Amino acid sequence: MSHPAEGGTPAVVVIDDDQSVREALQGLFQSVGLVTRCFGSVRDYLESDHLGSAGCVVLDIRLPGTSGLEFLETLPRSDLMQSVVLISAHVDVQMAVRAMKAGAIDVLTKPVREQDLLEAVNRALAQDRLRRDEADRCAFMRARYATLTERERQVMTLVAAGLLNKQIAARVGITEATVKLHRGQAMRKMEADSVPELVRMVDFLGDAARK
Amino acid sequence: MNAPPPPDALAPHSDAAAEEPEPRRFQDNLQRLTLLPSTWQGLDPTAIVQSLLDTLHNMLELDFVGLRFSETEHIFLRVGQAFGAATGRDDVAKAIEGWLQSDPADRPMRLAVGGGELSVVALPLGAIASMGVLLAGSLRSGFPASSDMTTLNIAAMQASLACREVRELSARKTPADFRAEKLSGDALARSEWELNLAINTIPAMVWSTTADGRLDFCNQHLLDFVGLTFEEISGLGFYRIYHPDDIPHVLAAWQDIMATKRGREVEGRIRRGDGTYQWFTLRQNPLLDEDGAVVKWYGAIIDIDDRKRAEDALRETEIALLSSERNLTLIIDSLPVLIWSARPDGSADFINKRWLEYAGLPAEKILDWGFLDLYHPDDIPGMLEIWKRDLENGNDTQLKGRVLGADGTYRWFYFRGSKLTDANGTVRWFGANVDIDDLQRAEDALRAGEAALQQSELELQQIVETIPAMAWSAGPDGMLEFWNRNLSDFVGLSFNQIVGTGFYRIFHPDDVEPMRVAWENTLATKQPQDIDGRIRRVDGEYRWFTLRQNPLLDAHGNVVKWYGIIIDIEDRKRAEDALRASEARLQDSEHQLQQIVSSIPGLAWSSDSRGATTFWSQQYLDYAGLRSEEVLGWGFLDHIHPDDREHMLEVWSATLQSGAPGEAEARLRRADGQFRWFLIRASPFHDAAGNLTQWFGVNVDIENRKRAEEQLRQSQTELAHVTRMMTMDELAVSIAHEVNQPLMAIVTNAGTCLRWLDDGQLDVAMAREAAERIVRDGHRAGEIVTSIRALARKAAPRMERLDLEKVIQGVLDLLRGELQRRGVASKTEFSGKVPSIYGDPTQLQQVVLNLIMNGVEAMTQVDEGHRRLTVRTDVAAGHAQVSVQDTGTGLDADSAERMFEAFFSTKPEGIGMGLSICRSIVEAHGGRIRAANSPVQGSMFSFTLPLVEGALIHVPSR
Repeated sequence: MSHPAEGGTPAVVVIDDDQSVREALQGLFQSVGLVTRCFGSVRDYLESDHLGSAGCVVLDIRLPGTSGLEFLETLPRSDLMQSVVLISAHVDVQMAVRAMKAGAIDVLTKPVREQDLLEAVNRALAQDRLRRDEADRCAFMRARYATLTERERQVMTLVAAGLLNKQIAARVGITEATVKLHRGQAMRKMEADSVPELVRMVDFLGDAARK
Repeated sequence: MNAPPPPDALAPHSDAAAEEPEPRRFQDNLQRLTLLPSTWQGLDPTAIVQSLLDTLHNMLELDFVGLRFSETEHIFLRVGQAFGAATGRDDVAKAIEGWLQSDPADRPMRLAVGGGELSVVALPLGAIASMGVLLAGSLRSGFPASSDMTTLNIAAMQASLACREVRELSARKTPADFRAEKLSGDALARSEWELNLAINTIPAMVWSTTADGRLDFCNQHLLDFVGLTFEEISGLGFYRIYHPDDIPHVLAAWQDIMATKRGREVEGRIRRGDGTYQWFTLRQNPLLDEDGAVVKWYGAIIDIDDRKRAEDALRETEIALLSSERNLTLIIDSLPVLIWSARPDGSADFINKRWLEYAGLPAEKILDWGFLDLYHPDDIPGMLEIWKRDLENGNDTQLKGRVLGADGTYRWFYFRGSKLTDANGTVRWFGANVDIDDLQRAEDALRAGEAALQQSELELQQIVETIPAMAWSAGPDGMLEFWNRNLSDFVGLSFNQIVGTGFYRIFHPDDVEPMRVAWENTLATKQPQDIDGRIRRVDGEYRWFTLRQNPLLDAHGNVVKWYGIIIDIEDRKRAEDALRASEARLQDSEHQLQQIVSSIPGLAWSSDSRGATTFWSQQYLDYAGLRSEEVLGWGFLDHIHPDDREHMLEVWSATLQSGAPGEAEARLRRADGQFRWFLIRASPFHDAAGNLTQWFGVNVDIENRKRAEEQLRQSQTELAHVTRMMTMDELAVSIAHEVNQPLMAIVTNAGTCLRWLDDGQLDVAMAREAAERIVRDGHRAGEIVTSIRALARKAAPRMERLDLEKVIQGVLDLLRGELQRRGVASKTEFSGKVPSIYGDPTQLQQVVLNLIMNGVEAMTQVDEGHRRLTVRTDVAAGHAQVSVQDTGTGLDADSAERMFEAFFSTKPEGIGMGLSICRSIVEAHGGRIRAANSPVQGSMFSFTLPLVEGALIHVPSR
């Protein structure tokens, strides 16, 4: 499932059971012009319509109900796009490894220096933004790719693999002229300005398909 | 000389004499024989013999009587009329002659005379029959009876005496009458002596008078009987011996006798020497001369008192009989028995009124055989059989049967009848029926009773053997005859060892003698008495006992048996000894009381009813180094530790007001200035009227106890601290989180604040907001830190007024992280009305903390979504109550019991002190703690604390 990047303002989602902490964080993010949405528990957040919106999540590891770490570890499965910053009063090495493996941008120890937190949040937002752009490009290219005929995809893949037209023609069993025709058609449909760009596109698609 | 008429003919009542009983007749005969010689006149042996034979012949109803003298062949013979008619006189004489030839022995034998055979006896005259023999024979059966022999013997003696006299006198110049002639010389004297002897030894009163009736002789018997001298009764003086009422007719009879010259019997009462009168018959015979003129009267007086009395009695009986005949009908009808008579065939011809009443029927329904209808059908065959049998063969009959009464019920009767044959030979049966219904029932009951009696005797035996007492019995001489098993078991001796007087061995040697004396005294007086003594038990121990006994007396009051028991009085004896000892002690007690007051390990004092002290013992004065006047009244307050003084005063006034005993603890200053803890106790004293007049008190030094208590408290405090620390350690991560939260907020807010103050984007309003949050979170952090510090604090308890709900909330705040980490949802239900309590916040927080963590631990086995913890507060009965409820696995019964014991733990890693400390803390606060399963799920721990308002809090002073 994939939410299209609506281009909405990125927001920082704060999930902490302590109201003071929530208010403090909201105040801080407000001071740097970030939109903040606060939730007391993971469950509250999952039930809201802010799930998957642009931005990042600041999460306390220790939460009533589903803990922050558990939440983080389930994120890829639910395909949430947001980057996550974990904070906790007591962070041991094991917990930090788990968090980083689960894809956390950073794990911070309470009380967090406000600069550290803001940096982590910015990084998370940037990553989020990057990931969202990438996702957008990927979606764009897949849409183009979908318009190619089977022969055009075949020719394009072989082009990206660095084969010459003649080689392609021999491999596929068509004439060189027909290879050129398909090649041109693929570049036009993929809106590639040059062969190298087409090659990058094929690589991207290949990477995305592998993911 | 004419023979006098036989005395027999002189007896006027000869017919009556025949009816007299044999002994009486015998007595009369003897008297007559003894008097016989006095009637013999002259010395004609023939006349004497004839008189004697006639007398004997009539007297003994002899068929013949004879006398043969040894000198002559002639036999003087009297033959009875009837016998003589059948057998000729000569035949008789011949038979006797033949008999005498055969040298007859002086014992009875049979002699055939004529056609018959009769009993004959021969009696010697003189000791060896030198004078002859007296012969007598009779057809009468039983002859000769012993009375006959006696009579004949006396007659023989009389005859021999007379004959000897005659023979001797005839050898001299023979006078006509030896009594008329004066004898002279030795012979005369001897004769008179013999006569006198004879007269005075015969067992009768004899006398003689002159022809004109003047007494000129009487024998000694007569004088002895009347108790008078001869001179007093000689001449006409003898009349005085008669009863005054009898004198006239005796005198008349006597004159008549003298006129007719014929003696006869006269009855009259004679006065005895002792003044009593007896009935007598006077008999007399005249001595006539040749012309028939009376020369002398000879007489005898014969006792007939017994006869007279018998006659009187007979007369009375006859009178009674007459009147009783009149009453007979009445009696028969009113006797409480059914009376009847019957004909020889058994049918009834008479029944009395009672019979009719009983049957409730008219006579004609019962007479003849009608009565059979009233007999019980079951009884009729048996009764008729007996009745018929007795009618034929018997003279009386006895029956038993049930008879129907007017009330419709059968009652048992006993029938008794007798046959009576009257002079005409008519036979009738007379009978009576007696109601024996009750008797019959009693008999039935008795038969049952006898069986029961046998059983009860057996049981009695068993009882005597088994009664929990020692029983014995002894003979009238005090010898032991029986003892029961208890006794023998107790002394361990066999019965043979103690029987008779052997029983003394069971007593203590020192007691034997006094007990023997007491027992013999009892035997002598027959008065039971308790005898105390020691008895040796089989194991050799002596115990005190009382011997109690009772005599069984017969009708004469003689002791048949002694029965007794032996009662263990050892305990009583001991109690008596103890009592004596205690009495002795009591005498010393007043003296000792003084000593006690001055030596008890306490400081004694007293006060008046308002609390002002009136006495202090010397010990206190010594302790405090004060003079009495310095502490009397209220002076003692100055020597109480200043910190305790107020409390002391409060308690004392409360005690005075209540009038009930009270106590308090306070420090009292010693002479050296050091204070020591004392327990001060006071008790009210009431006078006879019930008024509280004084207080008495004692102060006991409890310094050492106080110190021990203090040490204990310190140990407990330390222990509580240690366990708190352990809990804190366990909770360190959670608690750190709780502290970090506000810190996190503060730091963040501070950063935010600074940003708003940056030159680039100065916004004071936003900076203020952030700063306000900093302040708020800072306070919060402070509170948490305070809680942590309180828990971590290691200090003596400090009691203060505090808000219980705040305490709980503080703990919950502290534990919020831990609860989250453990997935426990907590909830509070505060009543909001719990007033302040007194307590140590640290200790109470520890209790709440422990209970909550206990509940959390209990829920580890439960799924996360179902871990719920609820903390409630409430107020009830002057106490605040806090309860912590979980949804865990609950308690088993054993755990609930031991939950609060030290070292009890269900957790492998627990040391089991948590709940134990909770309890000591709660109880030190005057509350109670308990655990129970919650009605729904899990367990519920709760504790109570007294509210400030309702309870006195013991405030340990610092």
